Amino acid sequence: MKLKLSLFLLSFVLVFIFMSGKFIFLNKANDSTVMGVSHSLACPCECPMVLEDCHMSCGLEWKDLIGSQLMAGMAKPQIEAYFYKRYGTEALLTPAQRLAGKWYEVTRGGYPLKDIVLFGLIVMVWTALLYLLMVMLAEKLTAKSKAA
Amino acid sequence: MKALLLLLSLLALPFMAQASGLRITIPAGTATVGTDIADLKNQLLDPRAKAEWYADETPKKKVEVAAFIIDATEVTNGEYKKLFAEHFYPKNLEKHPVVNVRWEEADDYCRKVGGRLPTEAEWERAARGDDGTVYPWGNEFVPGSAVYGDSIGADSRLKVGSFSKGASGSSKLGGTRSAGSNDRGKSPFGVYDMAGNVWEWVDGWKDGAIAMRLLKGGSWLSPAESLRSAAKLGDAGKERFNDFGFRCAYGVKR
Repeated sequence: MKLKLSLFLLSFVLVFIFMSGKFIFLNKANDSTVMGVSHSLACPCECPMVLEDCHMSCGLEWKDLIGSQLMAGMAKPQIEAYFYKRYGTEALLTPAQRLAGKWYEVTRGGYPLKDIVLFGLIVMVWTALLYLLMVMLAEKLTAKSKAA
Repeated sequence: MKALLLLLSLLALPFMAQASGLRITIPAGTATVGTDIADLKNQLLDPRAKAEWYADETPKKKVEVAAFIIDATEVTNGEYKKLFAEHFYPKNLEKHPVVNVRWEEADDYCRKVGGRLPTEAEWERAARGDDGTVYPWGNEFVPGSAVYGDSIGADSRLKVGSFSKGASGSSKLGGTRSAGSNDRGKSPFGVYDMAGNVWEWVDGWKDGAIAMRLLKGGSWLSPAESLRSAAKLGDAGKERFNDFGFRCAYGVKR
């Protein structure tokens, strides 16, 4: 019973870290798209958001600029260089800034209960699957060691 | 009393005068253009700055440049309005460099005043002098010598996109300083603001397959790395930005 509880908690922690990390750090768009490039840049407005989530006029202005640069044939590293040269670290994101930006993105309109419940459900489903897999493995290993 | 006031005004004149409107003759010579990659790595002050972002300025080259004349300061709002009456700016920014001009508009202005935009080699010669210094004032970065990203926030938290302060990457006017008001940032030839204040359009194209106009010198928004005279920025030149301005160059009459 103690082992099963430990396995369940381990599964939950692993799935939670993976799902949160995916939401925060994974670039969902291709590097040759505006969203793909703006994933690596900070929003220039006063909010602490990642540019990909920013829909304020100043953020949209930067996205427009990225769009025209992509259309001119510039690649993502060249665009990042352009933004650093013009704006310095204001345009860059540290992991902590990205974390804060994503948290702001989720909570800026209050706490979105529906989204949190949905995220929780997805985490629980994957936790249950991982837990079952781990239990099966643990039982097989126990059976093997008993047979030996 | 009137005579005393007049005398005081005359005494104060040298301190009030600014270099705006002056032109400087740069003698023929060898311009140092660009940076070597080994030097570049040592010149990046911020640990988050990557050498590959500035690799377009490598390697260092020596280019022979004929004598030319260059504006001592960036073209100001007041000067620009004399030719383009529709140009609008707040009254207190008359001596600030004109911004929100496209490359074609800058080129047009310079031609109308009998000049042209300087080439990259001319610009770097005017900025780096005979010795090819890293910054216009020398080889070490001196914060008070230029208006740049980290210097504008001395009395406010002026940030990129801070609309409330009118300072963004947009067409709103930003944190420039009066052209030619900082003696500490002068180049060896006495040219002002070649580091910071506004990026300056130059004649020519950025190297590479993509057609982009060149800008030099960094701006009031830029990091210290972009203030190095070798740093260059490529832009399509189609947009107007509040950190892009220019100065003109002229041929020397023989």
